[in-house]
Order: sequence, then structure tokens, then C-alpha cells
Amino acid sequence: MSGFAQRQAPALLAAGVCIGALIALVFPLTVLVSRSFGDGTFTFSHYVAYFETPGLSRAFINTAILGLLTVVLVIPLAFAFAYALERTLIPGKDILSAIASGPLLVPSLLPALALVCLFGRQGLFAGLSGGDIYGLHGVLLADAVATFPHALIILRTALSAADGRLYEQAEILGAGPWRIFRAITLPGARHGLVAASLAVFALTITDIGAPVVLGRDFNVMSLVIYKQVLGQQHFELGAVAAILLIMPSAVAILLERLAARRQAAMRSASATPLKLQPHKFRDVFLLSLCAFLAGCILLLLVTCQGATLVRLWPYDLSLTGQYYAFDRYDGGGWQALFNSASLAVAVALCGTTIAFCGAYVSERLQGVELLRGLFARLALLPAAVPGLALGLSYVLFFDDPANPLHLLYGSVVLLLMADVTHYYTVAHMTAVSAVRSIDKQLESAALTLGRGPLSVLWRVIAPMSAPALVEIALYFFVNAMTTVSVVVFLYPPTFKLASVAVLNMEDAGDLAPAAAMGMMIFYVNLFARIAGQSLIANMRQLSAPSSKFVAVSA
Amino acid sequence: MQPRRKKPVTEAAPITRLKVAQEGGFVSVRGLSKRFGGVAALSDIDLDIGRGSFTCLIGPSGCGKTTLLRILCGIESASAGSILCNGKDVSHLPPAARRMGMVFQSYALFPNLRVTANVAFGLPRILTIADRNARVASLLETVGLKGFERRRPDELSGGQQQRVAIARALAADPAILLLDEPLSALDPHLRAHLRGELKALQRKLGLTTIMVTHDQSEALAMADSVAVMRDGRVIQCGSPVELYARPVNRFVAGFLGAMNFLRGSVSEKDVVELSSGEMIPVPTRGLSRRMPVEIGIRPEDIEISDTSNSVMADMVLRVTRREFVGAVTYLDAVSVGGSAQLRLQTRQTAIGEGALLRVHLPTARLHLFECGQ
Repeated sequence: MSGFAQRQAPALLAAGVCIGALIALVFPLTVLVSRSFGDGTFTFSHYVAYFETPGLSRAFINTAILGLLTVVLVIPLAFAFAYALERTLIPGKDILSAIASGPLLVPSLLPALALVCLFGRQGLFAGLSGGDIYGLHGVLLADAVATFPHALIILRTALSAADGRLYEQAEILGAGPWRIFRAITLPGARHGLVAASLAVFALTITDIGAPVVLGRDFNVMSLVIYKQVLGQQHFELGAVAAILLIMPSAVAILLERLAARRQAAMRSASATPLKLQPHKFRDVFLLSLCAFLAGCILLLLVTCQGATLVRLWPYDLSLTGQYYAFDRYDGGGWQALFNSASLAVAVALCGTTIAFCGAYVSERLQGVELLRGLFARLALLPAAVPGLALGLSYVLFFDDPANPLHLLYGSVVLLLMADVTHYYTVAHMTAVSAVRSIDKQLESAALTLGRGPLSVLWRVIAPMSAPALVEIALYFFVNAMTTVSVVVFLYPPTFKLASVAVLNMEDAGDLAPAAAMGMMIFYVNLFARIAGQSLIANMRQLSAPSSKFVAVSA
Repeated sequence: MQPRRKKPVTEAAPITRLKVAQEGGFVSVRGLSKRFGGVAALSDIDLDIGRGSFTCLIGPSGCGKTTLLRILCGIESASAGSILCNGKDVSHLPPAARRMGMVFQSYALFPNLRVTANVAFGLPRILTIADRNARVASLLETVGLKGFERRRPDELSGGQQQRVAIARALAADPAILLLDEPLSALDPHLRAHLRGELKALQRKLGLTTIMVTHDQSEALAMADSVAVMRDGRVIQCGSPVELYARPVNRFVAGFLGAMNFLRGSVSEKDVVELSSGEMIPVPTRGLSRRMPVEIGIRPEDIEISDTSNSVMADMVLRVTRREFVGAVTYLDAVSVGGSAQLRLQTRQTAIGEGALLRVHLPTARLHLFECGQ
């Protein structure tokens, strides 16, 4: 590489990711905000119109209630589950945690469909529910299942970092188990609890899968956006609803950052791992609870699978494969599943590459402080923007004939861009922590040896970050497979997607094929997950110290 | 090696090797300054380093010693001044062209690469694989790491990691080896051991070496010459013996070894009156009367006089604390008036706390510092 290119490479890379962030995020959001305040002239009239429409203001309140109730329902259960996995010696942790993460692999429509199969008018347990699963309680249950694994991941991370010395000290000082729990365990997990609550709240209020299936008369904001835009082409009201949805998410992100900053001060470098001890009563109680919750999740998945394999659920239980002949239903057929998988692969590849470049730019580049700082902030923004809001902003921005990027509209590239952008924040954070853990002096050392930073990037940083990159790719893949909200406004008629097909088939009343498609997404994701995890395990094994070379002090 | 001073600071300053300084050393630093934003990290550094010598840069943290090293090897650029290496100006050469090998404080080994790949990282790309392997093998032999080729850094002990870092720095056949606190990451036992090994290796290779350290005993034990730095300036440099025997000011005296300081003022020519009242004979170098000064004396230079020989006693002290460390005993003592505090080093073990001591401060062992130095 010529000297000029070598010197300018950091600036070019930094400028590249920043321009990408502007096009994929900042410009569309700007258009979204400005449209909500009127087209051309500044006015609050759309906001006024929104709240003066009784159904719409009701949806606003419903959304808030739904979000809060989901948090109240999910967080204690997820905390107990996480506590059982991280702090007790109950058996079967692997299988419990695998089942609990199941809902991550399916569109949020699927738990809702399963609830219909179980508690709906023709449900297995219709007698139990009176056949009425529609409304707040149904949406609440479905969203609780869908958000449970997200809360679980955050709480497990929070509970896994325990300082064993604190517990030993407390015991020596004569504190009982309950006192220890209140004085050490809870404060230590406080940040995790806050973060998990905010995540569950944000996920619930922006979810569209559960309300579409189970909402009926219970209208929520995400449905408003969906119906205003797709049904009535009423973009301004959709934009208002989107902005109203962004607000709480943005506040949630802000609060989460603050909590994280306070928590950082509590960590000590000299912490020792906690020694887990059996406790009969607690362990039996937690194991039963975990088994019950895992059983519920498993029941939902099995129900979905079962309902797709029988002729007429639950009356005619003779086996049939007819619901997997997707081409007979409106939704895109098997091609949709193939499209989704191809898109998910592309999202995983592009997203991982960009996340790695972005993390590299914001962590290791020298001399481009301004762009670095800008990008580091922009990278956190997508987390605050619900998928529907992002999708709508893309419609408003790219469907403008005056926009030179108009040609992207209705193309697969836009789907790719939307997916990568929407899931970027988590990927970015993961990549940042992988890159940050590598000694900053390596570039200096290479320089004294006559090698540039690119040598270090290629030979050291990339290979060392590889396991994290596979994890990021997996995250992108699974989410691109399951998301409805990001792509529902954007997919071209010629490129149908599996997750949207679930929505459309359900909408058309084809419950069984919808569930079948949802299960196919589950299997594709499960396969990807198993393949990815074993790849990571392989990498870790390769880089782990071999046992025959145990470091000896000289 | 000498800093070229604009003017001699005091008469006591030993400028014995000024000649070398004027001729210029193997490495000559002239007027080097570095500013980070508005903060001066280095101000007007002049330094000459002889070929094949082992030089230590020593000073408290933040004094600029590591910055100086980073500028020398080219990963940091100077704001002003020049660096001459073997008569050639290398100030504007890229790091690799300067022929300087650097060992970083944390070693900065590439954690995912094996020992061989770490050492070979900077070898010229034109080398054949056979040449490359031969070079790596001989380097590993030199640093005594034969048999560790296939390991990764986390499979090595701290001392072994350091040797990999040295081998890697030596791979490009540098003219000068730069070491940034190479021993600070190791535990104390290992440190003392490796100090000898490092010095032996440097002698064997005859390699001009500059080492940054904040550990005075390391500097005194290893260096041919020592440069004491503070606040981005070189305060004094010379051989360890010179610096220990004739520190130019209180800072150098206190930084290299321990020293007692007694406040006082010039009473008449060659006599200083301590604030505790005692009159101490010491050459006053033409300082005027009433001039506030400090007298310095190292703990081992204070002589405990025989009680019968009262003529020799300069002060009478009461022992307040006794610290037996094995080979010697340290005594903390105050003058009977109570205003002066001294630390003594003695091989007598019978002196207990509360004992009265008559001590003699030998004129030849006294250091006179003007106050405020």
C-alpha cells in the first residue's frame, strides 16, 4: 500500500462508517421527525389529531399498561430463573437454559399462535380460559414468553459476576441467607434488574407479533403504526406514533447507561469467584419453578409443532403434512423461507463486518478523534429506535423520488440495511468489548518492528476477535430471520419473507400453516445456533492453553 | 553521557565527562521537547549515550522518561529538537528505519501468535522460510528460550515472556535496545534475578541499551550511566557512583538512595549552624552568611562516636525507633533539642530505643544544598 493510502486509511475508514450511519440512520430518522411535525410547515396538528382520535389515545395508554405489566410479570420470574442457573447447584442447567432461550429463535407471533392453539376457542384448554385468550391478558402472556429470554440473558450476566469475598465476609459476620440476599445479591444485580426491566419494556411496547394475533379490541401503538401506514397510507399519524414509541425507548437507553456507569464503580479487580453451595429447600423450590417455566415454553413450541402436523387441531388429530405445502397459501411459500435465510446470511456477513470495522474505528484508530466520537455515539442510537419506526422512516426517506438513493427503495439492499441498522447496537457493543480487551500497545510494538496497524489488525486483532464475531453473526442471523417489524413496510412483492409470511397467513386465518412457517424459522435458527456454537467452541479450544504447556515460573 | 547544561548549577555538580558530551555520543539527543496539548512532557532534553553502554532513565512517574523512550524509537514524534544516531539525524525516520528495538512495559506480545511467530513478526518479508527459521532459532537460543518455540505467550511465565519480547526486539538487528520498565511486571524475587541476566545479555551482545525505570536499585545495579529526570527535564546524569556520591540537588540525593536533610544557615565561612543549634563544619563554597541551606548526609555515613571521645561528637541524639533488617539496623533518632530528625544505619545491634547517641557527621560525607533546590 502506498504511503498516502496507509496514512489516510484510518480517516477513510472512520469517514466511511460515519457516512454509512448517516444514510442508514440519521437521515431517515430526521425525515421521520420532520414528517410528524407536518410536511413543509412546522405544526403540532398531527400530534393533536393523534390524541384527539379516541382509539389512538387509548392505544397509547394500552401500550404503557402492557409494557408495565409485562415487566412486572417477567422480571421476577426471569430473576428466579437466572438465580437458579447462576447461584445454585440444581441439576439440568444446560437443558433448562437451552429451552428458556427457545423464544429467541422464533418470531414473536409464534408464542401468540401457540396460545391460540392452547387457550383459543378451539384450544386444547379452551375450558380453562373460556376460549377467551384475546385482549390484554393474551398479549401480555405472549409478550412475556417472547421477552423472557432477553431478560434472562441480562440477569444471568448480572448474577454471574459475584465477589465471593463479600459472601464469605457476610457469613463470618453472622448474616443469614435472607439478609445476604438483600444486602449483597440484590444490590449487585441492581443494574441488571434495571437493564432487564427497560429491555423488556422496550421490547414489549414495540412488538407487533403478539398484538396482531391476540390484540382484537386491545389496540396498541405498534398496531396503530402498522394499520395507519399499511392499511390507510396515513404516514403522518404513523410517524407521530413512531415518535411516541421512540421516546420511552430513548429514555430507557439513557437510564440504562446511567445505571451502568454507577455499577462500574462497584466492580473490584480482586474479586474471587463465589463458591456455590447446595440449599435443600431453596434448590427444590427453584428447580420446580424453572422446570415449570421451561415446561411452559416447551409446551408452546410442541403445541405449535403439533398443531401443524394434524388435520384439524384439536378435533382431528390424524397426521398430515398438508400445512407445510406453503405454496398453497398466501405468504410466499417455501421461497419465502429461502429468501429469509439468504437475507439473514447477508445480514450476518455485512452486519458482522460493519460491527467489527465500527468497533475497530471507535476503539483503536488514532488521530481521527472527532469521527470516532461521532460514530461511538451514533452506534448506540439504533437501540432506541423500534423496528416499525425504523421501517417507516426508511419508507419516508427512500421513497422520495427527489432522493438520489431512491433506487434502493423496494430492493433487497434496503432490507439488508434496515436489519443491520436495527440490530447494530448490541453487535457493536459485543465487538467493542472484544477489540477493547486486546492490548493497545500492540500497534506501537508492530510499528517498531516495521509493520503497520493493518498487520496487527489482520494477524492479531481479527483472529482474536473471531469467536465474538461468530457470536455477532449468529445474533444478526437469528434476528433477521425472526423480525417482522423492521421489514414489514420494506419488503418488495417479489421478495417475500418467512416472518412476514407467518403474519400474512395468520391474518388470512391460516393458523396451521402460519405456525408451520414459524416452526421452520425455528429449525433454521436452531441449526444456525448449533453450528455457530460449535464453531465458537472449536475456536476457543484452539486458542485455549494446551494442558501440556502449563506456565511455570522461571 | 551528560546533559549539556547552559551553566553549571553548583560547584558540586560533577561535570567530569563533559568532553564526551561535547564530542557527542553514539546516540545524541539535542534540544528535544514534547508538548501534549498545552502540557510540556519534555523540555529541552540534551543527552549523549556512549556506544555499547547501558543507560538508565530514572525518575518519578510522569517525569517524561517513557515519553522520551517512545520518541527515541519513533512511535511518538517530538515537538522540537533532534535525535542523532551514529552521527545521522534519525528524527524524521519511521520507527523501523531507526534500527532501535523496543521492549514494552507490558511486553506487548501478540497473544494469539506462538513464540516463533512473535519473534519473526518484524523480520524482512524477503527472507526465505529457512533463513527466517534459522534467525528465529538463533535469537531464541540467545535469550535462552530454546524448546519454547511452539508456545503462546499465555503459556509462558513473566520472565519467559520478557525474553520473547527481547528476542522480538533483537530480530531486526537493532543498533540500540530500548527497554521500558522491563522488570516492573515481575515479582520481586524474579526481578532481582532477571536484572543480572538482562545485564549479562546486554554485555554479551555489546548492545547500546537505554532502559526506563523508576526503581533506583535497578538503575544503580545495572547502569553504566544514569540520567535522573523530573518534570520533563534531565536533572543530572553520570555514573551510578558519581550520582550517589555527588548529587546536584536534594531531589537526586533523595531519589537515589536515602539521605537525611538538616535545615540550617551559613554561620560563617565553612560553618553551618543547624536550626537545632549545632555548629557543623562544612565547606560553604562562598555562600554568603545567613544564607538558608540544607545539609545532607546518608544514613550509613553518620558515625556513632564512643561516649568517651566527646571531641568528635557533633550532635547528641535520642533513638526513637529501631528497625532490625538483618545485615544492618536502622535507627530513627531526634536531636536532644528535638528539632532535627535523622535516620542512622549501623551494624551494632545492642542500641535500643531511648538510648542516647553521640554522633559525628564526617565533613567529607556531607552534602550542602541551597534551600529551594
